[in-house]
Amino acid sequence: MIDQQKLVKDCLKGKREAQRQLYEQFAGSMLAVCYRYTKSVVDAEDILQEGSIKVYTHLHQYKFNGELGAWIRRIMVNTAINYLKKNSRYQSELSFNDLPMHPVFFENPEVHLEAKELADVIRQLPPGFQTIFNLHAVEGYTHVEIGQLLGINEGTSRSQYSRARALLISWIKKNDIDSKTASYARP
Amino acid sequence: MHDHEFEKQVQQKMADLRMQPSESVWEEVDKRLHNKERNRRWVILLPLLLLSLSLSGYLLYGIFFPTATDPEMVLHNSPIIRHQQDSQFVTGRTRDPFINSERSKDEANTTVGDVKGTNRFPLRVIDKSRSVKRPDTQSRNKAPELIKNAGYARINIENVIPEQVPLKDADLILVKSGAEKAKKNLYRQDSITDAPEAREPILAQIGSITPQAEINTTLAIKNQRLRSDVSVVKLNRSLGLEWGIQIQGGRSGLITSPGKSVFSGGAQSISGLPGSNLAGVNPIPFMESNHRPGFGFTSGVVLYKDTPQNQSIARTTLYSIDHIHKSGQQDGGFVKCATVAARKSTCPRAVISRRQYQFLYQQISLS
Repeated sequence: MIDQQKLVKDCLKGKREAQRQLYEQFAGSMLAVCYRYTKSVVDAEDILQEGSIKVYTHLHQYKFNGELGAWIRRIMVNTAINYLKKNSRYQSELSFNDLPMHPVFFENPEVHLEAKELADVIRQLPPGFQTIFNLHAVEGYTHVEIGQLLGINEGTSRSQYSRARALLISWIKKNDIDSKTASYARP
Repeated sequence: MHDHEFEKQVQQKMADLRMQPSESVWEEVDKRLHNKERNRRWVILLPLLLLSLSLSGYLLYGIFFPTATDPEMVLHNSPIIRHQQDSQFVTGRTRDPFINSERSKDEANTTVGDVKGTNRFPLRVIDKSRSVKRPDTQSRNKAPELIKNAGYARINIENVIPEQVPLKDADLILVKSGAEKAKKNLYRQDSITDAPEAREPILAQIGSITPQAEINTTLAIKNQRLRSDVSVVKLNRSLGLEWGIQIQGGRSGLITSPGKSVFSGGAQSISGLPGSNLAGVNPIPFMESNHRPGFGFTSGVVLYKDTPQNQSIARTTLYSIDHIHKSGQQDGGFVKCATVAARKSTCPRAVISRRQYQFLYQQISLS
């Protein structure tokens, strides 16, 4: 923690080496965060880039009263949301409508996928579902917070999430079946 | 599996996920960060730079175009200053004392206090009014060619010390000018209603003495159009005005030279005195017949040759003014001030303190 404080202070002093060190410390996990919100690695890297600049320019606002990683992650998530809102490729699909709650809402299947595979499955969700799923399931935002963040109703967020979850579970299940079938078929 | 088990699994798996960004991401971040720092530095430096530039510009401007409120500027620029050591210079009120006859005792006292112990020329340049138009030389075709190197500056007579200035060497005449009415009066002598001849232009009288005097007086009078209270005109010896000139705004004017009356006026303003309604004759009884300069009742400028005789005249003037004041005649405020000044001075010193009045001086080369 002390090292991290020093690192932050050095970054604030504009020391390039410290900035690079901080970047290397968080870039891997933050790119993964960005990756989950986008459809391409290039977009994810764009968000990482924008988010990193925000991190450095707002670093003086970090008061060491929480995890630096969590603080940076929040910045990345917000940057990702803004990116999706502004980017024409995502804009049209980011309109959220109220949907009926999915019946399999309470299903809790076991996830056998690797992290990267799971992230790729999440990324196959429509952008709206993908965003809300990421925010709620992964980042742990409440539906109220998601509503505020995206400018939608809490209920909309909830219904969209149930759809996204159901869709994802169905894909995971299908993936499980496919992988099992494939293993059985192996000589 | 219980509720949210799926979410926990997803969170756990996603927390483990790491991806390696391409090197170009950091390069771009680094580049933009340090560009930003550079820009931020400029944001701080640029106002400082602009400030220092404007400051240095201001200072340079002050050096090359000395318009500051530095009395020394006048000392350098005004030829009258050359005579400051041995001369005396008198001016009256800028504001018409007949209209504004009240002046506080305090002001008068302050004035005298200011006069005492100072020997420096009292003019203070507050602005070189380059914006002031040059006098319209075409409208008076008698002297346009004489206006060379004319420059203007607004000066503030802060403490008008009534020093006597030997005009035979003087280059400048202070001419009180003022409202359009004053100018008209100088020409037409409107105030002297009883004398038809008084309506003749003042220039006719002046012209009868010396062309040069006419020219200079013309210029002096023209200066009134410059909305100034006083103009300083370069005076040539050929004027014949050896030691005195006074042009008074508002109601009277007087230009004197030894033995000659170029112009005098202000008769109306000294009501009750002998000769008060005669044009061309100085109405002030204590003025000698050769019209040596007296004290201007309606203010203006009186330049004296520094001789015992003139000092005596001036003393008499002040005495008379005091007398007028005591006898309850008009112009009391002005007189009072003059009296106070005279009493507290050892030599003919008169109305001082012109802090608020701005004068314009014009220097005309008569080469």
